[in-house]
Amino acid sequence: MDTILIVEDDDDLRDSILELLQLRGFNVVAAADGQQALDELRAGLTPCLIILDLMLPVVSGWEFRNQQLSDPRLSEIPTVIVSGINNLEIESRRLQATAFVSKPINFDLLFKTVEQNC
Amino acid sequence: MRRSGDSIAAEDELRRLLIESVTDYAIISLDPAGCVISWNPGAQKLKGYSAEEIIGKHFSRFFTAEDKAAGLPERALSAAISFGRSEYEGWRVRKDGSRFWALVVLTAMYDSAGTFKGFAKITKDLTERKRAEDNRLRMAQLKEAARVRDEFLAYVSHEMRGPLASIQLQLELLRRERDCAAQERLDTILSRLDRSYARLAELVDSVLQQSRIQAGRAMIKRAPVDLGKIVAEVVEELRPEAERKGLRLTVADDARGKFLNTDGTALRVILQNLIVNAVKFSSRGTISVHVRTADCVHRISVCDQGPGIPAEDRERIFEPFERLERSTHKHTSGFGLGLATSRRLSEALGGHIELSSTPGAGSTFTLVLPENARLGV
Repeated sequence: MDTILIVEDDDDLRDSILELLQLRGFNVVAAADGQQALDELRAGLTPCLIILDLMLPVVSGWEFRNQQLSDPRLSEIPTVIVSGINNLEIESRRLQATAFVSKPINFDLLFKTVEQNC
Repeated sequence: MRRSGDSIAAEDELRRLLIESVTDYAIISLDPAGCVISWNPGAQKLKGYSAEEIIGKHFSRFFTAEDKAAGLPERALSAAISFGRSEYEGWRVRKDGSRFWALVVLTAMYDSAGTFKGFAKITKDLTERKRAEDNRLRMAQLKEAARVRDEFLAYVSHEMRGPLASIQLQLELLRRERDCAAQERLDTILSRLDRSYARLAELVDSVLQQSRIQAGRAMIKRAPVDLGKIVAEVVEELRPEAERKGLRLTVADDARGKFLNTDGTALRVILQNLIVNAVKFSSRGTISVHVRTADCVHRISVCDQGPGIPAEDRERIFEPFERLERSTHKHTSGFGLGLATSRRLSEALGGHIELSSTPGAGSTFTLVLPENARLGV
């Protein structure tokens, strides 16, 4: 089954995205910050998609993306940025993201992005 | 070689013409006491007095009342005597009472025998330049205020979108699961909705509270307040949040029955902010609250074993919307208003907040409240 990695520090938000994706039949791994997400990936997780928040404790979404892009094994994993920052489109392009979804989250839009990649 | 009387007269005439023909500068001389001896057309044009009106009058009349009261005329003369000359800029007053921004050079004059004869004073009107500078400064301040406002709006919308997104997805889950969800599942979703709602409400409250304080509308009402009781209540209120993070929250001193005349609501808000911050930024150890009174001064300290605050950030974190990790894209919920609000409130109560911190070991924020403080705001 396809696995999605979600990186979000808001517990309730992370859990609800996870549950909504599980309802659609996906396997979901959750990380509360960029470091946890990198640990999962380096331990061998190969998700079909990463859903990434930007403002994160420990290792931010920006730092996570920099490290991901500089690791040949991880750089090709499609990554959708989900954030409430104002200039999300510009930042997403700068971070070479596959797609972006603005908070509050239109779940149908998020799910469409998921379907396109998984 | 002796110069003839004719050549001396010609030289004096040349000097007179030089001074008389300059109309952009006021060129005057003062006697040793500061009274006007000579007055050129430039001085008349700039200050509005004719030579007949002003000669013999003390030069302090060109100063503003505030500068006169501050002793500036005397200081200008003594500086010129001490250093040979003094140069300064400031507002000066014309005959008609209007003001102009002046650049003044005051030089002590000595005759060939070395006897002190008075002062040469040259004044130029720099009002236009001053206005242009002031306008530039005002524009820069407005731009900065607009930048802070834009940054604030971006920050507020970012912070509010988190709980909004959570509420939206809980509703989505409720819609999808409403026909089959067990009671326990509904409770989980409802408690998430409660938390998101509480976070939104707290964010809105903190913005409103800060804007009330900024606008000077915080109502401060003095009444006898049981300090120990307020400390105990605030600690009990915040203990669950501390324990959820695995932190110990203790009150080191029993201050029940210690009364002071202050605003209980403001005191409560300050304590809440200090303890909430300690909980938010600590990941281990104990947060202890100390209440000490000495020499009619109450000191309520919140000590944590968190990451500490580098010396260069200790002033900045008291500014609205500032927080330690702002520049690093790290995320901690909230607007960074707690300390700004607390500082303003503590000042309104006649006190202040002190901070001592050791990076890596922890921080102590102390609310200092004098017993008989005059209430501000």
